[in-house]
Amino acid sequence: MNTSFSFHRIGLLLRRDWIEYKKMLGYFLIALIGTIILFLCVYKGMEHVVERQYYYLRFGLLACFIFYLSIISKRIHHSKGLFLTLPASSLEKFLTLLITGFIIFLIFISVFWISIYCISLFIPGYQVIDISTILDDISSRDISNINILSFLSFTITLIFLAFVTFPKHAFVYVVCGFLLSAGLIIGTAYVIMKYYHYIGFCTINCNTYAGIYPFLVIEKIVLTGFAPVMFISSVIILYVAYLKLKEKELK
Amino acid sequence: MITLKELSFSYNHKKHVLEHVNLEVTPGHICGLLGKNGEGKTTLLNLISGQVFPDQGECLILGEKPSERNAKFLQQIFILPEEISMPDVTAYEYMKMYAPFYPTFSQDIWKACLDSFEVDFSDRLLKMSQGQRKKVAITLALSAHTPLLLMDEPTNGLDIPSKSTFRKLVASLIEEDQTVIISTHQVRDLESLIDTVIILDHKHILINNTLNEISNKLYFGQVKPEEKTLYSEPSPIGTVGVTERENKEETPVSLELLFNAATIYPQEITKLFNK
Repeated sequence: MNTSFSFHRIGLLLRRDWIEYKKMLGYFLIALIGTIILFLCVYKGMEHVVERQYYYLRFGLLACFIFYLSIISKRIHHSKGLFLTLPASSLEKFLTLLITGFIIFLIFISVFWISIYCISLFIPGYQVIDISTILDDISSRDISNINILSFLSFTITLIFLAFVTFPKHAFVYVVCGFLLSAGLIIGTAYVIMKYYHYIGFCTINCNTYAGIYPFLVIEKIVLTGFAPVMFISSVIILYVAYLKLKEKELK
Repeated sequence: MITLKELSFSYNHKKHVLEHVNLEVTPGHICGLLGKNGEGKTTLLNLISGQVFPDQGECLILGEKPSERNAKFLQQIFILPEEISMPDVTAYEYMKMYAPFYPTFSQDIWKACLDSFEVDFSDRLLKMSQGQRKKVAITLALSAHTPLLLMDEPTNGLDIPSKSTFRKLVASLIEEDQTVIISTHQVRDLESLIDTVIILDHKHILINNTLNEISNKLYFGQVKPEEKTLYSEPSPIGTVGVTERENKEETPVSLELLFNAATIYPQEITKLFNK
């Protein structure tokens, strides 16, 4: 077995996690899917069926994320050193944490679709959301879509970092992190706005436009210029989370 | 095997738990790690296993730095903590979760422990008593068969027959090239097991000697009331104590008397063993 990096060890870590959490995951999915199906069946009208399914899909993904964070926290901070002394490198353990998250989401999405499809077999004319439509939305190059995805990516990685770093009150630190990030973005946009003359940012009539609609200009700068920054920030945050895991002590 | 040089550690960078600790442990010893409450026994084990990092000094275990926590190092060391966090699985599943991580895992040792401890491995861990869970954890620790095995209060929670089983298993299953460090307050559980004593006192290592070396320098047994002793206490057979051996016959080491003598007269003990 390669001592520096081993896919076999990642497999062992995933197997270990599966043995420990399969029961908890099963109960969680039963409760979540059961709740979603109940709400879908309570409203029997056929209007906006697909939209309602989208809504519950997003709700379910959020619930899965919270469940995933609770597993992360329990694994890293409350295993009394078992996680730290498990014979695998910090990189392998970190990748396993990320893969676990993907697996939980994939399992939920699969079970959700199967459940919706089963409902459609019993209710004539019941529409089921199309996977290809969702994939098209995600891969769309529409600027607002990219901005939403970049913001989501930043948010998710920031919350992940908080739960890896802090054994308690991680959400408080997330909120503080967001306020700080928002302050940095607005501050940077304000500085750009104030000194755009000097960097040749605006063209004809921009003085009038910026004077009348300053927040629209800031919004345009933020949404256009900072989406790539948010994606890059997400990668950096993940790297910081890896370093935090490497430095984790039983204190 | 274990080399600590001028190692210092604190939990909050204010008060050191260990200060300028020097320790050398060669392979093939079963060491008893003794110390009063709060002296840093668990901390020392956590430093050796890489769960905490030293503030100062050098820590080399099996030629590696524990703080790097690379897989090769972690495969060669197993730490059995005093309190074990156990998942809601059967004992058999628990072994399946961890056994594959250790290339040295021994099925034969596992079977031997299974038979000796008489625990039903098909039962769920959370439905077992604390003592039964401890037996499962000890089974995994012994079966991992790593070159270095660290155990923190392994006999806590075990009934009297199980303590005896534990002693028999350690005595028969630990190989000559394995090193075991057992941290304990229950010295009587380990007297027949260990061959080296490490005593922690006031943030330092006071004693790190084999029982042979100790019995060469110290006498343990009945003493006259007027005799100058390092430590003495009344007993049903008269006053027993610890004195410098000088010309007296060699006696088996009494860990309890040794510990009391070392912690009450640390300077005398240090002088004696540094002669």
